[in-house]
Amino acid sequence: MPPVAKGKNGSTAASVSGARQWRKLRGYAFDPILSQQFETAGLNEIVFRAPWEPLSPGPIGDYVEVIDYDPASKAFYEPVNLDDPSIVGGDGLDPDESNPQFHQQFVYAVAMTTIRNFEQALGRKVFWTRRNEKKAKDKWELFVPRLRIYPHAFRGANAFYSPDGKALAFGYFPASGDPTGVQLPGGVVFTCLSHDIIAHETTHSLLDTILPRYLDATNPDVLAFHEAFADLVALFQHFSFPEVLHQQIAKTRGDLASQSQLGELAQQFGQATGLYGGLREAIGRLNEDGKWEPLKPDPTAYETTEEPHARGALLVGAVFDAFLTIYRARVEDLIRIATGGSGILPAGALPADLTNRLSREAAKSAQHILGICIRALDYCPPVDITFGDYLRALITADVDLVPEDDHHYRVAIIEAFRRRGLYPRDLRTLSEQSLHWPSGDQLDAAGRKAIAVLAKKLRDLPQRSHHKDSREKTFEIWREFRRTIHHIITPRIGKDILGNLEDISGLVLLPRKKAIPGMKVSKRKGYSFEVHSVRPVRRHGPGGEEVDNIVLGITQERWINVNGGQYKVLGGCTLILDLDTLTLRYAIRKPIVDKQRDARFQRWAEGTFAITSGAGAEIREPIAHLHLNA
Amino acid sequence: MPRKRKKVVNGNGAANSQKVRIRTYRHGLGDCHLLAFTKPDGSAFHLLIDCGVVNRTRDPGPLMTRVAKDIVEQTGGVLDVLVATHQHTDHLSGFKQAEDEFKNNIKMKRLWLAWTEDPANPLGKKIQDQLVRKLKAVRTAAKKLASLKGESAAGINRVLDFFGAAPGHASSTQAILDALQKRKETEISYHDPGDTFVLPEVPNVRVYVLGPPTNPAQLKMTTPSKSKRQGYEVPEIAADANGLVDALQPNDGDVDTELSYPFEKWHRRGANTMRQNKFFREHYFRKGQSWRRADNYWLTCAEQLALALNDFTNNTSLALAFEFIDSGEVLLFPGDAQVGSWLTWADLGWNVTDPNGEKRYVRVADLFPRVVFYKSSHHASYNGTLSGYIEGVGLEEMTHPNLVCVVPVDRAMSKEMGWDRTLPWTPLLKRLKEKTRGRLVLTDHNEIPPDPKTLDTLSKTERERFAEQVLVTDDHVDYTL
Repeated sequence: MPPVAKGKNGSTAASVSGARQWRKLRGYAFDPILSQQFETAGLNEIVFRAPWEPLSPGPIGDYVEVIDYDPASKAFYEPVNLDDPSIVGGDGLDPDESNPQFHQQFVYAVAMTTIRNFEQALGRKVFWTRRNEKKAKDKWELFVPRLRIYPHAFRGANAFYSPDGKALAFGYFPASGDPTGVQLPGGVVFTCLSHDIIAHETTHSLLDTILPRYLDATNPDVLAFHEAFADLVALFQHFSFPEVLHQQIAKTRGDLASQSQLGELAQQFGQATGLYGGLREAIGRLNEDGKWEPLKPDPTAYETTEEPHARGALLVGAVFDAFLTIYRARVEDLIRIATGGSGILPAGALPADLTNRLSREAAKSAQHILGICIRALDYCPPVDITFGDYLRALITADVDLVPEDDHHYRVAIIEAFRRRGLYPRDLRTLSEQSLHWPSGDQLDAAGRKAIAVLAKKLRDLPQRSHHKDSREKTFEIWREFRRTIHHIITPRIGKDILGNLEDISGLVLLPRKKAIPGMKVSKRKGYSFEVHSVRPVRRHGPGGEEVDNIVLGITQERWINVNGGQYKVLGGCTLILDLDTLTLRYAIRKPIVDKQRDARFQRWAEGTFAITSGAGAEIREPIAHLHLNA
Repeated sequence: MPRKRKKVVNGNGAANSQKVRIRTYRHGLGDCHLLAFTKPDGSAFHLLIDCGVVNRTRDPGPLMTRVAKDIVEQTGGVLDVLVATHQHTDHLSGFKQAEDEFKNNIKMKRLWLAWTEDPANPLGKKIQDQLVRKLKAVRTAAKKLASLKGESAAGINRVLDFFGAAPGHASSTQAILDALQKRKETEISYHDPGDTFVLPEVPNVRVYVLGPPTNPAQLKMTTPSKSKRQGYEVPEIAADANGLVDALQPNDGDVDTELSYPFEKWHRRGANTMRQNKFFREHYFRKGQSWRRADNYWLTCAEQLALALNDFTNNTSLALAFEFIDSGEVLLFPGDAQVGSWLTWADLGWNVTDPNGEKRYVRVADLFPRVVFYKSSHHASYNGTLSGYIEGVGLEEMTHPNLVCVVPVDRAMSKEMGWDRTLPWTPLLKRLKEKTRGRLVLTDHNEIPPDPKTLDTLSKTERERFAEQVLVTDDHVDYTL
């Protein structure tokens, strides 16, 4: 499939060949352990629509493989065959906590829903992070076709994404009989039966494919961003099911203005496990009377909160706030129509039609926010992200897609971030214009020429990534282009034909009279760099014409000494090239030599990072470790 | 390490008006503090807090024997009180390693322990029994991990180093405590937070017991967090980890582990038949796919359990404050208490009647501004000292102008054990330095003790006072008040 962003309802993951487009699979709307607390326990079922694909038992499809081995129980469970006609006909197996085959079906359904949301928003196929196999000489970076999912990998109140194993591992644990425990006593709690946890972990793996250096915690925001982004996708994906909100909206009646019910719903996410609790801290809390009340945003919290989950909660809170503003604006007219202009709803249950329309509006707002959040990833720096950078990416990406902000989405987002103190510290104003990443106008003539050479070479890429090619074929073409780019840049270093591209990109390529300590010099005497991603993006311009862009991620490393230990700091740049005009649209930079960033890194390395990273030894599973330190 | 005794700081450690001398030994990563209070008749009342060094220390026998010999010399062979704060080797190992000295040459009149060590306390007993079972499980996991190709149990072992030998072994912390409790001449007492009493034979000193907390949830709370409720949820689950423990210790007495399995028997296929199963042969055991197998994931969870048990044990520390009734000055010895313990102290209150008949109501918030000597809890780890926290009473409330802090650390050993980033934690050391205005003494041999002359944030009088108060030799730090 070419990197074409189809309409809002299109999907790049759906096969065009078969008659079927969707596989319907029934599943839980809420964590089953939590549903016991809801008045809505009887209604805890929704239908997931995964793009149709032929499946082997497992299920094993094109993107994921579910393997149900439970080493702690010295047991394995037979794989479910979702292509079995009786299962297809029944929209999957019945939701059943005691049936491992249903668990396999459920993790598949939620993981595929998440993948589809990413492909839809990004307008291109998703590949898992490449595997570096040192032994294989000719194959320097190997294609990993499927993300592996272990629904019952271990006994513990946790779940994690393993970047090394390209796998999601879900834990389960006996609910504690301890009266001080938070869960209901008795029974087993399965993390693989929670939509939010599965979506959260799948998102970790998807984010890793786009921005792999975000697992390197180089400032307090980086791992916090990983966590917050995973929470955001889980939350808004969940809200994009109108059924999920229906019951809550019916309950809110006249209280719609405060939207506390939505907040309360969000707050209960992950409660059964005590994990994924960022939302609870971020949005509000139950007061002494047991009534939920929204939390007043604290503009100083960003300066004082460093623990990754608590810090991530600030970002989640900001985006959730923007969502509420957008939703409220979208339903204002509906409420007026329903109340003869008064805006005050009468006592008693809401009319069913109104409830339906409100739920649909809420679900649509959630789906929009989800798309905006995911698309922004292409506009993020390749390393060392801060929440301020993400705000700029959100705004720039949205301006590129929707130049006229009729619904004031961007105003809502900026406002919500500002109220929490999440903004770039180096800007004078927080207008849409100043938050928009700077364009490549500052390039001098030589720099422009160098960019044109690159862009020309890349012109073939969108054409060559064919629609019907396998993901592996496309992966190999993209990999080839990464190599090509490196080969184009390298011989030009030192020939003084890059112009001021170094300044614009923040990269250090040319040899210096006085060597930069801690940086590796390549064979050609310039400084080493890595072209770590090449991503095609096709969008529609303001006049409806197709615009082909390429996103290039280039990174560099430098070693510095902190308290006697050697630490790697990262620099780099995301270059967005316009293939039609052969120009540089944006250079989103993190200069590799930057004293301020070094100082910030040092404070972080000896402080919070020392705690969250545990021992001096390298952490093999950074995300797992992060969750364990929750 | 040169053994020659040399004075680093000049001072007169034995002034006549001395109320107490605190000797902290510089023997490695571990705690050993000898307090000599002056009795009304001028003689000394000797109170020893802990005597241990971490498991990895090379040749610990002679090292701890030298410490014990000094204790004999200083006390004349009589300890009026021994305080054993909690069951970690770096606080207890010396009693075994220097057994001869402690057995033959030292008479212990009293032994003070935390309520959690009291065999007659049902909750204490339950806690100890569970700790033993969970530790066994962790050791099993470490063994299994070590036997897997490409795996290492280093992560777990660096935690187990604090626990030392397995229960049942003669040098286990439990065995050491048992031996101490069996000594005929010793009067044993177990202490609850909220206890207070005047130090026997020293009527000017009142002892306050701060921890360990009696609420199991607080005992389990080990990580700083902005909110109390959020803080202990996760560590609590991790600390319980009953499913994992059942898997690692399936045949443990009368424990029924069947309910720990996630599914009924008929769903479970034995892992030993996996290779005969077509699906698993093709997808799990396929050649070249071993890098993504999940055999070890469940075992690595045991590291988190080990950490939780370690922190939990720290929280069982008997935390004490000694107050001089006449001057109000306070010495704080929290053991290795962590955040969960510290947070409970703010709620404590004591109605006391002093020997002179005066009645007072005392809270920790009254004691902390009077702390003049703080033995840093848990080797200045990030969660051993309450600081920068909204709730509770902690370091920020220690506002006395004469505050001195002694930190038992050995950073070379921390590095060897993989704890160098947090034991000690650099930001806490910086804050301690600020709070004490430089009067921070690390027992580390790599650390040059602060030279009073260079402490320019102190007044001349304060510099002189500090020079007189603190004497650092190769073997110990002496602080006098």
